[in-house]
Amino acid sequence: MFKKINYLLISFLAPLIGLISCAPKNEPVLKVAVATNFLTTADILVEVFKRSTGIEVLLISGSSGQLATQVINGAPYDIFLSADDVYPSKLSSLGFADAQTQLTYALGQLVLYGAGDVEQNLKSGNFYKLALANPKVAPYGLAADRVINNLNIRSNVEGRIVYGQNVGQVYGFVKTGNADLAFVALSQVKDIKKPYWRIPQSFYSPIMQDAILLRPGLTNKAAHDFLNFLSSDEARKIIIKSGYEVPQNG
Amino acid sequence: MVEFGPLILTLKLSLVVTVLLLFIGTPLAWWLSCTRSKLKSFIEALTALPLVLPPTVLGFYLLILFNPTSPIGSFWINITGESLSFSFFGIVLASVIYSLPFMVQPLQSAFENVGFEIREAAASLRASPLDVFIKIVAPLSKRGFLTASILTFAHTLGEFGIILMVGGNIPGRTKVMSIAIYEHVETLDYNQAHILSGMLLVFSFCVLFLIYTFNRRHPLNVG
Repeated sequence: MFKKINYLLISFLAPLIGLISCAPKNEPVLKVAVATNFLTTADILVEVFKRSTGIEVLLISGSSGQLATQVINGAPYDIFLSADDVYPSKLSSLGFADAQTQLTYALGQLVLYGAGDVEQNLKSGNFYKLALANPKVAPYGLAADRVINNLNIRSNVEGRIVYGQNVGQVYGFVKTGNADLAFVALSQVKDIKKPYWRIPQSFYSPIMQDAILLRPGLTNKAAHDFLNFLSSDEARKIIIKSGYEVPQNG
Repeated sequence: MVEFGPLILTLKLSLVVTVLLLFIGTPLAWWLSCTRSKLKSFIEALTALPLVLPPTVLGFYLLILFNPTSPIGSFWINITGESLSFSFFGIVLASVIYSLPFMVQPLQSAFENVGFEIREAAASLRASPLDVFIKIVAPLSKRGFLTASILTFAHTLGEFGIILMVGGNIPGRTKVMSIAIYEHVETLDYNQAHILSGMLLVFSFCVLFLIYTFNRRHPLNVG
């Protein structure tokens, strides 16, 4: 009886131990924390960067707030690609990043997405639920909040606004039919046939997505190279193609 | 400045869910404790599912079930004019599903502990099944009820993932403590995060401490 159990145990444990010991041995040279909204673009950038330099980059994604929290609590990232310019500034003022390296790698573009003539539907209040990212934690949410003010439709939409933690969740609310209008990022919908309204830049302050060199990256040459690469023409072309703008004269 | 909104909402949610689950869980647990049906294992497995499923799985399915074009979602809109997603009732429903095993399992084992002999004795004296339950099993299962209610209440108090997915973070309606804390941590507002977390910690401990103290002072002699 006991023998049987022992064999059973071993047959379960042996492959498990094998799995654990097979974990990747070589640590990637460069660890980049990236805001989730930029992850798919960052994947392309990392691929191109690797092709020209041979440097392996590990991307860690999360919301900008989560990533900043991780950095403050000792996460060993070299570079932070935030979805805004507030968290990088906060990190440098707290001594976790080098203020001089902060640069805007992309300008987020806000769009209104949903069913039918979205612009008309928003302005006339012809919708059921309007989703936006939480203005307190998400830069696209803050921008959307401004747009609502600037269009003077606050009283009309109040009570029908629902919040997602980020534009990804907001997009999901529309996709699953739980909301029929949503403020999302152009980068999320640029390949979709459904009509959307690209909000004129005059309605909101630019969504500056900033990168910054973190403390562990200071002595890492690859980190400096990657930051330089971000403002290269090649990288800027990829970023624009993904649905962002880039600042003039980089 | 302490915000009491999320605290009050969380207590309200936990209370409503506990009361609802008492009504749903009691008959279910009673049936499970007496039945010899082949369906028993099936229902037991179904009831225990929320214990093992990550909240993301439930949240994802609920998001799809709750949307205004789905049968359930549109039915709810027709009778209340409100959508299930992003509403207080929506998170009540989500929590009822999520906390179901915390009500049913302690009740079921309490009912089973009462023993078949005593039930059969009562039945042979012509007590109806309902009488047996109300006059004999329920009073003997007091502690089971208490444990189940407290566990349900406390579990709902700590709920996070599903509400994050289907709640929509609306102050006064779906922005519960755990969500508010998450937001404060995310905005690096550690002061508020400390205050709310501390409140939840102390409150939860007090609830559990009271129940354990009560259990020690009033041991129930069963059988």
